[in-house]
Order: sequence, then C-alpha cells, then structure tokens
Amino acid sequence: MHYLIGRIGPEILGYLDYVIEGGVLIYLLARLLRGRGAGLLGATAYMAASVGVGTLRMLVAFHYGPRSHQYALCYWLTDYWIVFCAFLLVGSFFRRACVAKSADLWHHVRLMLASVFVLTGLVAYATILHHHQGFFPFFVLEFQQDLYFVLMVLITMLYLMLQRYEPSDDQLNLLVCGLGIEYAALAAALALVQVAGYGALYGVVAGYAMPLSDMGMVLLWFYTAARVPKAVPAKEAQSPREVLPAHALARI
Amino acid sequence: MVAAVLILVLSTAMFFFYFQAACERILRREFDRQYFMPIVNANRLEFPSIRKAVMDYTAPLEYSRFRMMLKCDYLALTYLLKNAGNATQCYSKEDRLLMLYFRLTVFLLSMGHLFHVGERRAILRMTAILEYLGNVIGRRVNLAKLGELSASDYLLTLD
Repeated sequence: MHYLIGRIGPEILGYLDYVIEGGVLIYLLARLLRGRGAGLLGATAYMAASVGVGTLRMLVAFHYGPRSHQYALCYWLTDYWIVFCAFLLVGSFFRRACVAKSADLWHHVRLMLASVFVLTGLVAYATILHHHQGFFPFFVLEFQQDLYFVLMVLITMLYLMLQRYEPSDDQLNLLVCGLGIEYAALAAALALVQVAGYGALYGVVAGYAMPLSDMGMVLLWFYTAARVPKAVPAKEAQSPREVLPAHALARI
Repeated sequence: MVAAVLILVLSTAMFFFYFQAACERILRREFDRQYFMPIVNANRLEFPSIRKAVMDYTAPLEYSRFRMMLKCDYLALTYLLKNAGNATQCYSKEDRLLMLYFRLTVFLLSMGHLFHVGERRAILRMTAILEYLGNVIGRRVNLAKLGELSASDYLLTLD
C-alpha cells in the first residue's frame, strides 16, 4: 500500500493528467476546426504547448530514465517554456479584456507586461549568475516558485481588471480562474516545500500537487469550452430591429 | 524563509479565491426557467424556505436546524443527481466541483459559527448551490419526460 501511494500513485496521476490534457486538446481543436471555438484560440495554443512538453518529458524519461540529470534538466527547461507560454496567454487575455473597452488602456497594459517580463528576465539572469554553483535542486525550486508567484500576481491583476471592465464575459473569467487555480496551487506547493526544508515533501508535491493542479485547470477549461460561449461585445450585439426581416419591419 | 511563508499564505488564499470564483461563475449560469421548484415540491426540500428565513434579517438564525436541513437537502439532491434520469448514474465534473464547493461551504459555515462571522452569507451560498443542483435535476427530468412525447402529444398535454 505504501509503495502504491509513494511510487505508483504519482506515476498514474502523471499519466492521467497527460491523457486528460490530450483529450481536452483534441476537443478544443475540434471546436476550432468546426468554427465553434470563438475565444479559445489562446487556450488551445497553451494546451498544445503543454501536451508537447508532456510528450517531450516522457520521451526523455523513457530514454535516459526519470532519475537522470538529463531528465531533470529537460523538466526544468520545459517548465520555464510553459511559464513563458502562460505569460503570453495572460498577455492575450489582458488584450482581450482591454481592447473591448479602450485601445489606450491596452497600450498601458502592454508597457506594464513588457516591464514585468524584462524585470523578471534581469532578476533571473542576476540570480543565475549568483547561484551558478549548486544550481540543482534548491535554487531551481526557489526560482520556479518565484516565477509562479509573479505569474499568479499578474493573473490576479487580470482578474481584477476583468471584474471592472468585462464582468459579463463568463468564458474569459473562467479561463482566468483556471489559470489562477493552477499557478496559485503550484506557487503554494513549492513554497510549502521550501518552508518544510526540502525534505520528502517534495516527492508528494511533485507527484500529487503538480498534476492535480494541472488537472483542475484543464477540467475547468473543458467545462468552459463545452458550456460557456464567448460573450458578444456590446458594440457587436444587434438590436432586435436589425435582426428582423424587412417585411416584419414594414408592419411596425 | 519569510518570503516563502508569505508566498505560501498568499498563494493558498488565492487558490481558494479562484476556486470560489469559478464555482460562483458556474452557479450564475442561468436556466431558461426555474426547473428546481417541481423537484423541491416533490421531495419536500426545505432550502427555499431556509433562504427566505435567512434573507429576513430580523429573524434569529437557527444555526443547527438550518445546517441539518441543508445537509439533508444536499443528500437528497445528490442522490437524485446520480439516479434520476441519469443513464450513466455518474456525476458530471461540474456536479462534483459544486459538491466539493458545498462541503467547503459547510466547513466555512462551521468556522463562521464558531467566530460569529458570515453565517448568513454561507447559508445563502449553500442554498444557491442546492438550487443549481435542483435546476440540473429538474431540467434532466423534464427532458426525459418530453423525450418520449411527439410534438402533437406534447401539444395535447398543454391545457
């Protein structure tokens, strides 16, 4: 039983997460191809990147073994790539939230996002220079936790902006909630590992918390794609008079 | 270490915040009509009357009675959700999420009762979840009932 919980459980959970992600990606792609995926392009691209990363990790683990240095390197490098993709996705959501209200706002937000990106890059570069020895595993975990936290703060800013400018766009709000759930859980899990002193807890976090938080986001996105259509902006919405045929209008 | 503790506290809080926000968004989904009323009447569910009592701010809050009644309603509705007009006899992902949210709200209600904070809000949230579940069951039963009828049969049933 202990073996099942400690070793096989996380592996099964990891594969399950991968399968669910793959299934939801196929569903999203099918919706896009049928022209019923309005507002889901960014989420689909992010999901494709995530499934691609999952495939690459599995190939590396199969080739070099899951406890090899190559796998660790591949894992963390692809994790940075996923965080970068999430950053781009958050940027696209910011754009969607701003453009509907005013193009001017988007210019300010774009500047803010670029500043955050450059600042994070500079801080990352400086800290990597400072920690070039003993890179694995403690520094990587701490750095990753900070990246997740920065992303979570950005997502929270986006969520607050949505409450002000696009509170009726349920699709966008739920997509953002999904991202928030994943990155808040990841930041909390890695912070917990650090607070607990990098002990056996890391295995539990990596094995259970990471795939579970990912599954939470993926399932919420699936619900959003299946049940919640994209909100029509007010300026695009047609009045009843515009929809009525000419002969009906003539009788009014 | 201080930064890690701060990140842990803030991220955990934000995790629950996003979880709650997602559930609230799902609960806000509108049904084309109130499907839950026939389910409430047929099963003698009490959450609409509890909501009425809680919204009347002058009346005292009967915490233990309301909590017990809401939990009974929850058990009845989750049973119906699984067995009434459900060919697969499985909960959907959305149902599971809302059931988890209900349990979390029950826990928050207990905490709120302990510190005398936010009891009314928690009870109202629980009734909203029950109403949503009732709507899901009602619509499903309604579809199953109409599924066997042809268009002319349906028109004949209208008075």
